[in-house]
Amino acid sequence: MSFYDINIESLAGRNEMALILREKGYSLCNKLSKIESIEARDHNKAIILNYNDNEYRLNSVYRPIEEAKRWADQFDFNNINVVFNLFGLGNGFFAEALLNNMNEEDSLVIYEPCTEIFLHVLEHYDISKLLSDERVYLYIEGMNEDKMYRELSSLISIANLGLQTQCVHPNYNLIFEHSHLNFYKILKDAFSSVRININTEVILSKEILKNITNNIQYLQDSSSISDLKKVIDTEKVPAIMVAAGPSVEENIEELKKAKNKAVIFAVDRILDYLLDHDVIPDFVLTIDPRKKIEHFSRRSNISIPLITYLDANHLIYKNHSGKKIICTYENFVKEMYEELGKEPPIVSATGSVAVTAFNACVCLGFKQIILVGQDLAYGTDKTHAGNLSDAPMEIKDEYVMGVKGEMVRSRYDWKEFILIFNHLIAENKDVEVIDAKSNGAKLEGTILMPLSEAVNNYSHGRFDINDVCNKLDKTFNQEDYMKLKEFFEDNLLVLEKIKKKAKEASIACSQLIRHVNESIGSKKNKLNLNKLEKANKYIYKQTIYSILDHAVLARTTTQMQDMNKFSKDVENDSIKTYENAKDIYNAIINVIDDFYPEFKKAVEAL
Amino acid sequence: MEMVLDKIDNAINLINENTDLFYQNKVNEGYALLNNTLLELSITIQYIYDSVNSTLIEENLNTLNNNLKEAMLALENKDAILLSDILAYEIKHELEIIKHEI
Repeated sequence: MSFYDINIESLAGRNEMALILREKGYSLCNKLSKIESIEARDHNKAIILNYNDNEYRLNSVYRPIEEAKRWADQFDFNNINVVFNLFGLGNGFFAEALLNNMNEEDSLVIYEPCTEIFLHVLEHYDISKLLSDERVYLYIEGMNEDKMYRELSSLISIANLGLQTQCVHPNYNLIFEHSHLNFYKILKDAFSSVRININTEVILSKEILKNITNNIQYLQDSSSISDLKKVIDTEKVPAIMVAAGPSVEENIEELKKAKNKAVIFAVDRILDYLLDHDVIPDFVLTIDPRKKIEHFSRRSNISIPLITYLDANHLIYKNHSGKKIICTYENFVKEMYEELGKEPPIVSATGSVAVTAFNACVCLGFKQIILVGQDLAYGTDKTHAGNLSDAPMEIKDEYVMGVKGEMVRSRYDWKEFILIFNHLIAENKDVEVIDAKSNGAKLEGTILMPLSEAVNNYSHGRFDINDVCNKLDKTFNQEDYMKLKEFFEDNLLVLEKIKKKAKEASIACSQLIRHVNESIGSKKNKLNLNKLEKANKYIYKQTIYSILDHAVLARTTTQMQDMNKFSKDVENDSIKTYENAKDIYNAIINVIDDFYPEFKKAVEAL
Repeated sequence: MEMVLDKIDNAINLINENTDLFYQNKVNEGYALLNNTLLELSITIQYIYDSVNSTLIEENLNTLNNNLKEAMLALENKDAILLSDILAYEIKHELEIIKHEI
């Protein structure tokens, strides 16, 4: 079997790369005039290439494996759950040197900027071990680099946010300068996005639990976005996503004309402005657990179908009289649907309701999404359409590229959303995104087009929300509903058991601290470590823990950040680990004590 | 003779330190140390010439001088890895042989 065949076989099942290679669905960097591998003095191979008329060696011509080992020695491998981000795959020697030192829980994200190098390596080297290593995530520019942002974001949590390690394959930063910058931009965007999500979840943790408790009563009559997908025709008409930017004002008349020619989604607070101007959207979205009711609508009779998460503000749920269409981003609610044999209505969360609305439109299957009011920049004298405004807050100004090619004034948080949008649009290549604004921030990959032209071009049928609502079934019939109640009752018992395990684990930590001078293999320490292992295995396996996690994190951010950090001082590391763990277990107990009574009442009332 | 051995050990340590920097892509720090490393190497070779019966190690000294010329060429071409390879696998190797012969 050739090296190429061995390598392709190891790629199969891990990601779509094998398919991309088979179908030649990649683009070349086209700047390599030569690439070859020569034999080094230790009989391993070294890559020599000619890039932009300059010759470069990617490895030592003496001992390339030894070179890679000495290069890897500079990094700290004491911590766990670390994400190593490597710019440059080369022939894999440097990546292997990292993997040989990394722990099982660590991850290696490799970004290779040149397709030709990757193809050469597939032909001339056996890198099957690296390709099949579960810790490795490989992105090739021109092939699948648009996946890196989202997948990297999923590897990062509060516990390892401070443990990211950046590595550069020697010479790659000199040869591929532009790609090197792009690599760091993706890292920065991913870290920022995760940091924003973590901060958001920490701030909103109390509201999230309160809202879930109060909103489960509405599940009985709800539908899900998976149900909606079955009855909504997304082929003949586009989606129009209306956010609250000032440019909505210039589009208001066209929005009226677009009714029934497109599916109009109102994002949160723009709802009242639209209704005031006789534009009745087909759906309205809200996700913010703390959204003030007056910022959703001042009206008390909103019956427009509401697309929302279960942890959105319960007062909005209460005030809304129409159909509730549930989606979810987290495991507990996902499991709830799965246990009842229903398709979980997954729509990824970010810090922005507009981005979530975009994700919802993609989930529903729209191939054309028209953005209205997605300014993400200051208008001449306002931030939002009409009289809407944000509560006064200290948010730093940032300047971003505008649609007319000029720099425009924006905000730090809007800039983050621009980056998220850019990545989402790049990831969803089969969706045309039309930006119907004449001013504001530029979103990469969008087509700038006036709203009237966009609707004319992309609408080939008629949409009637009443038809859709008539066809839209409730997710849970009577039998399902009884099972739903059982599901929640079972989880009450799970909460009681989590608390019990956390108490036992906290006591075990105290004893481990007291006996830290004894050998780890001593009978007492073994027993206590066993208790910790069992407690952790149980607690973190329970999906209801996923909704408590934010609240636990809110109380133990410092401990979580330090969890995976280690030095060479074993005794101090041990004491620190047990003290942090004890704090976390105590936080779990406190969170359950706060949450359980009200949740129990809500379940009993179902 | 002990002085010669100390000098050789010192030169080897500097080679190890300098090549580590280059192999770890810390090129600026590597070049910053290089002057000192090369100076120490020159002094060590001169010391060996002056202190040791050179017929015993004539061939090694010639090889060492040729290796230094190769190293200078790599330095001129700004090839930090090749420079490190020559320091680590040629020059250091010869110094260890000389140390053993002495």
